Formats: sequence, C-alpha cells, structure tokens
Amino acid sequence: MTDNRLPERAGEVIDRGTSLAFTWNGQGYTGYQGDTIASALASSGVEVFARSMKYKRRRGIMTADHWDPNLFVQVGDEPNVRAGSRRLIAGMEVSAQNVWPSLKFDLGAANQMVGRFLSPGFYYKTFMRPKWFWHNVYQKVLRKFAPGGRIHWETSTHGAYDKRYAHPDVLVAGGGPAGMGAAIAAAEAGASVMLVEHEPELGGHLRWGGADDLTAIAELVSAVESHPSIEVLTDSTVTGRYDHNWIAVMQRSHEIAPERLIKARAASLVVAPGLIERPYIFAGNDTPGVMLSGAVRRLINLWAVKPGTKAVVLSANPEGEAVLADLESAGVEIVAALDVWAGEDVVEVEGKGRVAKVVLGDGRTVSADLVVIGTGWTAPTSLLNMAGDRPVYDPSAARYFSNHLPDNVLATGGITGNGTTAELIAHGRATGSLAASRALRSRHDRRVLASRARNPEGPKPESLQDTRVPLARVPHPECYRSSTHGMVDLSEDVSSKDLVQATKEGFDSIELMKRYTTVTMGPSQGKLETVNAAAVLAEARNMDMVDIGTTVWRPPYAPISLGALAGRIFEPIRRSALQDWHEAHGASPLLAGQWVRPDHYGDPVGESRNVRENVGIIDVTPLGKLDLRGPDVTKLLELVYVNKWQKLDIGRVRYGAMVAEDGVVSDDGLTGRLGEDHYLMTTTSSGAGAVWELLEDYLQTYRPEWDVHVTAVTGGLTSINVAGPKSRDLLLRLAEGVDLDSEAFPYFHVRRGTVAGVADCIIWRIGFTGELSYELHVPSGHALHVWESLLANGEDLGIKPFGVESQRILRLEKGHYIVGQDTDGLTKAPSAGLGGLVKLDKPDTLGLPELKAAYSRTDLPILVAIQPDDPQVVPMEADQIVHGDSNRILGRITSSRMSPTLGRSVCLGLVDPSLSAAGTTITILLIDGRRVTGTVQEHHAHVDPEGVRQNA
Amino acid sequence: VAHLPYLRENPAGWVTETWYCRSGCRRYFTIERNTATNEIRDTEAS
Repeated sequence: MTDNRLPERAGEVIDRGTSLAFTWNGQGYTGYQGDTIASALASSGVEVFARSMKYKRRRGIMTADHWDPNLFVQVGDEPNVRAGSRRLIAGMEVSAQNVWPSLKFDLGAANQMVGRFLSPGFYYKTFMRPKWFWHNVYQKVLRKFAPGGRIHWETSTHGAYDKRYAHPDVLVAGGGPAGMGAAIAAAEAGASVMLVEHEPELGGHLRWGGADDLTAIAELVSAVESHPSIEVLTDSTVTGRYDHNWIAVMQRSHEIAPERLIKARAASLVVAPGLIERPYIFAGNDTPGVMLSGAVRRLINLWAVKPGTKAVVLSANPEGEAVLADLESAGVEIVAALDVWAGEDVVEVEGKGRVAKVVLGDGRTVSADLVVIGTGWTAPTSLLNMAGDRPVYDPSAARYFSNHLPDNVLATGGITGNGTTAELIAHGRATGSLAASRALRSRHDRRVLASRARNPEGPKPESLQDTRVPLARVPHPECYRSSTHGMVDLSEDVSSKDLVQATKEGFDSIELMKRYTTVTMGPSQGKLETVNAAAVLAEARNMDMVDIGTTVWRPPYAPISLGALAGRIFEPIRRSALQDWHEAHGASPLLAGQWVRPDHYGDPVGESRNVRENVGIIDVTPLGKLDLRGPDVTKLLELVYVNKWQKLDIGRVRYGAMVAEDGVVSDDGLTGRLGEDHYLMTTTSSGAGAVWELLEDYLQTYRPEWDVHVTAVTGGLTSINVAGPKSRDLLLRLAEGVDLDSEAFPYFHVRRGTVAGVADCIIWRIGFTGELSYELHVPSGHALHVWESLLANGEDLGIKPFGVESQRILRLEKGHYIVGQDTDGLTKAPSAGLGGLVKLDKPDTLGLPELKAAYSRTDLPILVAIQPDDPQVVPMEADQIVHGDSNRILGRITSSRMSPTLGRSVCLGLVDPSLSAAGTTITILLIDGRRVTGTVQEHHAHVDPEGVRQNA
Repeated sequence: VAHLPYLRENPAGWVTETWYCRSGCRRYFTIERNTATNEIRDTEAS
C-alpha cells in the first residue's frame, strides 16, 4: 500500500491523533478523523474508484468534492454515497458500485470496443422492437449494467429522517467570505439569519488557500459564531427556492437523523454559492489522474494527500497558477506548466488506470501521472434560476451572470464577479445589510397586517438603497475544448463527439440535445457539464454561446434522499379516552386514519356472536361529531345532504347522505335534533375533518347570513355503542331520567340523560350492527367510568367488548355500506342505492345538477348484496366480477366476510346494472385464478332484512 | 359534461381565489393571485 500522506500542513482538517479503520472492497484501510472517504483512499494510493456508467471506463478523483461525477460508493447498506464529501467513520464498509463482476475486471468494459452501439439515442434506436424482446431479454440484461448501488429493504439501520420548519428573516446560501460577510451584516442590522454551508466547515475557497486566507476565515467564523442571531448549518445544502422564498434546506449528519429537510420561509434569500470549477474537454480527459486545480489544492491543503508525482498543469487563471506552489510544496515534480493565454494546450492523455503520457499542444509527448486543469469556472446559478432569473453569458469573462432578480433574492460573492478576499467580504456585507433592510420592512408589514391594532414594534424601518459596487468581471479565455474530443458528461458517459453527432441528427437546440444524449442528466445535474455542452453545441453550429442559451436549472440543487422527503409525519395520532383500557385488555391496535382503535380483543368471531346473542360494547369515538346550533341549522342540512330535513321533530334522528359537487357520494351519517335550534351531526370517522371544513366553507363564503355555529366535538364526546338483544336490560340498570321503553324511545330517536351517574350524556337509539342498540355519547372525562360501569353491571348478561373487525362483520351481515370502502371516487348517489332518499326537487343542494344528470343515466354500477354459491368460499375484497369465462370486468367485491350468524360467506359488490336484479348469477374471479359463482340478493341485508331485531 | 364541477378557466394573470387558513384561524377568505408569478395581493388592491 502506497503512503501518499504529506507532512503536517497549516490548514489541514484531519486529526492525525485519531486513526479510523475501514474497509474498501473487503480490504482493510485506515484514514484520519476529518478525511473524506476519497481522501482516505487516495492517501493509501487508491486511484480507481469506479467504472463509468456506459463504457465501464476506470474513473478516479476529478473534483474531490460533493460533485465528483464518479465517486459514488456503497457504504454498508447505503447506496450512492458521495465519497468526495462523505466524512470517514470508523468501521465503514465501503465498496465500489456499478461494477460487474468486480472493479478490477469488469465485463462491461467490452462496451468500449463496441462504442458505436452506444451512440446518442442508442436506447431509443435499438431497444424498440421486437416489443416482447424488451421484457424478456433486454430488460434483464441491461439491469446488470445499470448504475447505482444496492438497497437493503430488510436491514436498513438509518433510523428516522426528520423535518423542521424555520422562519429566518435572512437565509444565506453559502458560507464563504461573501456569505459570512452577508450573514454578519444582516445580523448586525437586527435580522435573524440562517447561514447554510454545503461543506462541513465554513470558509469556502479560503479553506485551501494560504496563511492570509486562513486568518481571514478565523476572523469571520468567530464573528459569525459569536452573533446570537446567526444559526449556522454546515454540511447542509439549500436545494431549492420556491414561491415567496420558500427555501428547502437539506441538513445532513444531524445528530438525531441521517438527513433533515428544513422548510424555511425567508423574507430575504442571499445567494452566495461561489463558483464551481469546470472540466476541460480533450481525449482521455476522464483518465484517473486528470484533476481540476481545486481538487489538487483540496487534496494537498485540507487532507495532506499527495495527488501524484509528476504533473502537467494547464492554467488560465490565478487560481490555476496557485496550484503550482501547492504542488511544489508537496514535492510533486512539475513536468510542464502550460498557460492558456500563451496558446499552450493539452491535447491528449494516454493511460488506462492512471495518466501515463500527455500530448501537449506543441506536439511534444511527456511522461506524467497527474494532469491539473484550471481552465475556468461555472456559476452555479440554480437558485437564481428558481427565482425567475435567466442568466446571460458574458464571453469576456467566459461565464454566466445574473440578469434580473426579484427584491427578495440577492446574489453576492464569486457568482457576481471576481474580487480579493476583502472585496468579497465587503460585497457580502453590503448585500447582507440590504437583505436585512428588505426583510425587516417586510416583517414590519406582516406584523401590521396580522396584529391590526397591536404595536408593530415601532415605525417601519427605512428603505436602504442598493448602492453596492459590483465586483469586477475579470477577463478569462473561453476555454472549453482542446483540438480533440473527450468526455463532456462523466456521470452519463457522453462525449463531445456524441453531442456533435446529435447536432447532425437534428437535435441541435440545447434542450433537445440534453434529452436525446442525456448530457447533464446524471447525478452531477449539469454542474460540471452544462456550460461545456453549450460550448460544444455553439461550436458545432458555428454560433455564439450567448445565442445557444442554457438548460433551466430546476430543484433540487443537490439530491435529496426519499427518506428525508418522507421525513417525520406531523399528523397527530389520536386516541380515545378508552384506548389505554383497550390496550390493557388485549386489544390489537388498528390504525384507522388518525386514530388508533381496538381491532379486536383476540376473537372477533366470538365477539360478533356475543353481540347477536347477548350484549357487546364498542368504542366508536372516532365517529365524527359536529354540534350545530342556531336558527338556520335546518337550511344548512338541506344544503349539504341530498335528503330533506324540514320536518325533523326534537328527539328524532335521520340518516343523511352527502355528495360532492360531482355527484359522488362523499360522506354519510346520522343527525339528531336535541333542541329547537340544536342538532348533533355525525359523520364517517375518516370524513370528520373534511365535513367540518365543508360546513365552515359554505357558512363563511356561500351563506354568511345564516346563523349557525359549528363546534367539532368528536374527541370531547366519547362514543360507546351498546349492542345486542340484552342492551336495554343493561341500560335499565344504569340510565336515569330516560324512559327506555320501546314505545317511548323507538329506533332512530335520541334522548339526553344520566348514565352511571354521569349527567349530560346523549343516548341515541341507533347502531351499525342491526341489533337492538344504544349509542352513548359521554363527556370524555367520565368515559372510562361509564365504560367500566357497563362492564360491571352487564356481567350476568354476558357482556363483552367488541372491536372494529367484529363491527365490520356485523354491519356487513346487516348490509350497511361504508363510504370509501363500498363506494369509491366514482360512485354517484344512484349506485349506492340512495334512490328513495334523494330529493331532486329541492331548491338548492350541494351537487344537485350532477345528481340530476346521474339519475337520468342507466349505465351506473349498482351496489348489491352477493352470496357466493359455495358458502365456504370467501372472496377477497377487490376481487373482480367478470363476464363468464372472459376477463371482461362487470364489477368487483367491495366487502366480504364469513358470517358467524349465517355460517356462510356474505359480500357487498358494485356490479354492472345488467347484473343487479335479485337472483342474478354472477362470476367472481378469485385471486388464485379460480372462477366461482354467486347470487345477487334481494336486500342489502343478509341478516334480518325486516329490521325486527333493531326495532325490538 | 357539466361545466362547473369539471372545467375551470386558467387565465395568465390576476385571478380571485378563496383560500383557507387550515392550520391557523380556520377562516376562508378571498385573495387575488397572479397565476404567472404567484404574487398575491389583498382584494382591495384591485
């Protein structure tokens, strides 16, 4: 193993006292704390890190940062880790990806020899036909060659990802000299600042500079860190700017989550990303050992790694020249120092796993193992693009500059021009002051708006004029391609020859060329290759760069893992006041919408039988409950439900069904009238929130003159359904102030009374199970007492709690449908069998025009009860109902269970109207391919269609 | 096909919309938005 580690250097970020052991392709290596995976491997002499995507060419370090196009590795079970920026951790198991069977010997390298088959548009041209061949052959073979690492579904140990919301006055993207200057000035002006830096340390390009640069960093960092209004996020990237300065920040290596997505709403955004060094196109420019000047400076100065022994340096700018001093101090022999201004050039590099020979512009061939390229800069204008800017190419400086920005987005630093460290800091400070001024004025405006009468913290701050002196645009040669062709996109293996070929085939606009050749579409996303691609196109078409334009940079600026996008879900988990009891008594939890509910207590079939034979109690608290008061409640009910509500006496209950504006059934439930101007409305459990919002919407916007007050009481009232032939016997023992006699308190009536000593309970004679049943709505603070009293007093009656699964069985036996299960997003009112309920002659009902249209149709599916002819066959929900032996679909099973009461399977299904008549035989296609027959029933109810039991 | 539930005009420029403050005051209110730039303004501005 070679040792490329240099003696200690002034600005190095490694801790030589902390040695870290790790493995690379199974072999043991060591690095230091502060190393990246790439710098640690390079310090031990590793030169080849990967095979390229298409041609499987050997690839090594080119930029030594996050954007390095070929440093993607697998770390343990995490694929696509960027070795150029990921910090080394002891025990990491690192391996090359995109190799088959191994990094040293890759079968795909044969692609190089058949390169003509992989010309631009190769996939479009080649894998078209025959069509069946794609699925059976191409796909399977190509997958072996596809780039990317391996995901381990079972063993992932990444823990939970997270999300955060933030509201800084000023958000600064980039922690170099200009960005830090902006953050300090903005904070001094009174703004709260979030400073986001992509690298693990602040400092930008000064970090790999000389002694003066390191001193400047130290001063800036201490000012930043000592200011209480600046929050610093390092190893974090601003990945997108959206409307109204909605800024996405990806925070990596957070202490509690591998990645955290921060959604920040910033009054002002300062864009200070600096510049990205641009590769140069020539034959062999992707050979390991060809590095950009910044990569060489980072390797030497940050990680004390000697990048090679004999170097050819091609430079067009002072930064490129500074690399010469670094190389000399690292003991690297300079074979040739070439100046672009003097017409000197690199034409070709030879060498397989490493640079061996370099052909120079003057025809000489020299031996070297390192080619250092310092030929220009790309302005990473992504965030400016996302703010609506269309940067314009300046040929004299050979890069793009901002054209027009909105007031709440400001740019500073290298992206706007060149300057000394002092000039960059000064420009940053001026930009920070301006950003703060605009942010504080907008904060003032928002406070005035929101608080109306309250004191908005003094008068509106003065508007600061933009008096910034722009940074100079130092002349730079347009230096894109040598006299030879080479790689433009190292992520996607697209060469300049491919781009010329695409132009000849007619894909000669930058946007078309990109999509046809996939140039700029790899993981680098154009940061290294966009400008070179535009330059090749301009050359091929003999046009000016200005007229070629660029592709539009879209979010995200840096890749975001799917885990971070999913993040932590802020949705609350709701528990009824009885959920602790359920769990203490063996209930299996069921997640239903926001609620945790008892699915069953071990024996759902037994629980069902007990309801039919004795008495059971179920916690139905998630049932939506809206308390409606006011003289105009009836009008509201008339408006939102399809049926009539005028003549509902106090103490009575009515079923209501609701449709959306498109006539699709959206919710249903029972509403009871408790007093003259007082109703209690119930909704489906899942629809509770939506119905509440719907009522508020109509009351606030459509009928603001109506006098109705809506209060959501879903959690405030715990709902307990007492169901079974012995339910009245049980309640007689506990209820006071209510006459429970069936004549006095019949089905579909509601009373108020005292239960188990708890006053103000609402007692409904309703139920989903088809049994004699009462639903108690109990103030939640007393719910546990009532629940336990029911159990204690019902012991001799055989009382048992039952869960949601048991209720589903019982309601299906009774033929009650569930909105959203037995209906879907296309089920209109006639399909659900609401025929007798819907009143089309009402003056105004939500969805009325579509309802009328629906009732004039004869082709809508119909919800019917179905019994399979073999009583032991229980179809699965969503099994298709088909036409005979064909696969023509005529409907589907929407609910299906084995009925404990009947000892046979029972179903509900949505069927074509031709199958809806009672007695029709239908064919159900089971998931295993068998076809079974079933018979359509006369009533939805399989059990007690006459309703004798519930009316008892 | 009925026009109201399925078809909406989509002009480039200022439109009047109803917004709902779901996580805050639960008010429905009227606001103007420019569909081309996503700028918003008080209805009084027009």
